[in-house]
Amino acid sequence: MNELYKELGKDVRFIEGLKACFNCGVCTAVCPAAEVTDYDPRIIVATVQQKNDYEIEELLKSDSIWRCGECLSCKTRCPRGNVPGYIIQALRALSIETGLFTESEQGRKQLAVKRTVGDHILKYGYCVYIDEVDNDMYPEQGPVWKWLRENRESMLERLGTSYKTDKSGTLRKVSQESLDDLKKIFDETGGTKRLEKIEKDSCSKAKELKIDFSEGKDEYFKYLYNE
Amino acid sequence: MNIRKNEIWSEYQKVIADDHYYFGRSCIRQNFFPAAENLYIDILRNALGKDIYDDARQTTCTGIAYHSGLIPLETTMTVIARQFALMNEAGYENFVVSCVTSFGLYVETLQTWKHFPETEQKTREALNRATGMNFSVPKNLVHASDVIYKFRKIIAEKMKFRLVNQNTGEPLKVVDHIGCHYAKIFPQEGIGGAEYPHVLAGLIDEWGGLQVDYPERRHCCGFGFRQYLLKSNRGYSVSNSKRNLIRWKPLSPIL
Repeated sequence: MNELYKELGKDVRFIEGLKACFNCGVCTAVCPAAEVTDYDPRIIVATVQQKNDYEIEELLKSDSIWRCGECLSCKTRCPRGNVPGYIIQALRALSIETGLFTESEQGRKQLAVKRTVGDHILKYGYCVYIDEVDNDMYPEQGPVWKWLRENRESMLERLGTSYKTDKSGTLRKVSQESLDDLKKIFDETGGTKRLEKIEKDSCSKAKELKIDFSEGKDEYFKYLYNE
Repeated sequence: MNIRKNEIWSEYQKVIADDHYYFGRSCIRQNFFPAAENLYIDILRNALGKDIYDDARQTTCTGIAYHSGLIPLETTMTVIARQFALMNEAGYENFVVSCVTSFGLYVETLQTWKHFPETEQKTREALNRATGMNFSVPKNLVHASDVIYKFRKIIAEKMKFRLVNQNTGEPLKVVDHIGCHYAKIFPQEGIGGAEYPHVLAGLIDEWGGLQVDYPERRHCCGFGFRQYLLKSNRGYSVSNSKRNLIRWKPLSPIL
């Protein structure tokens, strides 16, 4: 029994994050996610501390663990040295590992995160790249950003960047050798397996929900990203 | 010894190398503030006469994806280890990190290796199997703003314009906002700690401005990683940012 709790205990972030919570609620009081959603880090820590696998499984299938913004304000303020944000990191990893992330609306959105920043890492060498940040996806960037993007070849040259060139500098083209290094590191350390797991389990869920699933910005991506 | 609240920052100091830096670029800064990092390098090289190396082989640290619950810790630590290996190959020992998220993650990686030494060994083996590389940890690891803080008095001597109203002689009112991962995770790694970070406030003081305090000065901006990345979750980010902007308005900050 307590298999899920044991799995969490293998994660150094869980070991470091859970000392002994006495439910004071300071983490919730300071939490920006708790201010705008029904997320409550105090309840999450209290739940995992009970070592009850049923309750932990419910958390792994919940929206709650995906609400945290990982600002880690809770680490600064906890009077007992707990880190709810680290516990969340371990819970999220286990939720993907067990496939339970597809059981919650927020968990399912990991596919959209994977197909943006995740794929950008292996394509561009960076999590974010100007070519992918368009105003349809990020309307709040506004007209100045739109103009900058439309004129990026000349503007980025004028600003002294190395946009899409092989030399060092801002927004340069990361070499194939460096991208290959990243891919080999992902293969070696579980990164590739994690990304493939998200695709595979999301495919099954999309079929269950009867939403078209293929690759890139397909219907399932749009549903997860926008709604 | 009793110490006044507004002097708590002085308890939190750190060693910042004097010269010869390896520069780690930021995913966010190079896209949304494309001139910022070149300006930074220009100040260090040409205004301060420092040696800072900009390596074409470096990559992301994976931080945004890591904090979105996407990338395993082992992967992130090994990518960071590769950055250290590149720094070693270039002949440098002092790592300057442009991004606050990266800075927090680099410190977290070093702390993880310190408290769980087996994770460092596993990272070394993984990096070597994947790329054939080996690494030494930096002798000095700081955020880009730490270096500016260190040389703030020299910069003040070279400034053309101080933070002063030219017509009245009054100091300009300035609000600061520090990225969460600069010192909230490891307060001892930030100048001034987490509650009273002084890394930007110290620049305001030194350059003639007037710090303006406000209730949410230490509150998160609301980026929230996966919360901002997904349009459907972005209300989280917008709400938090708007709250901060509303708080600033009656204070009439100029900067």
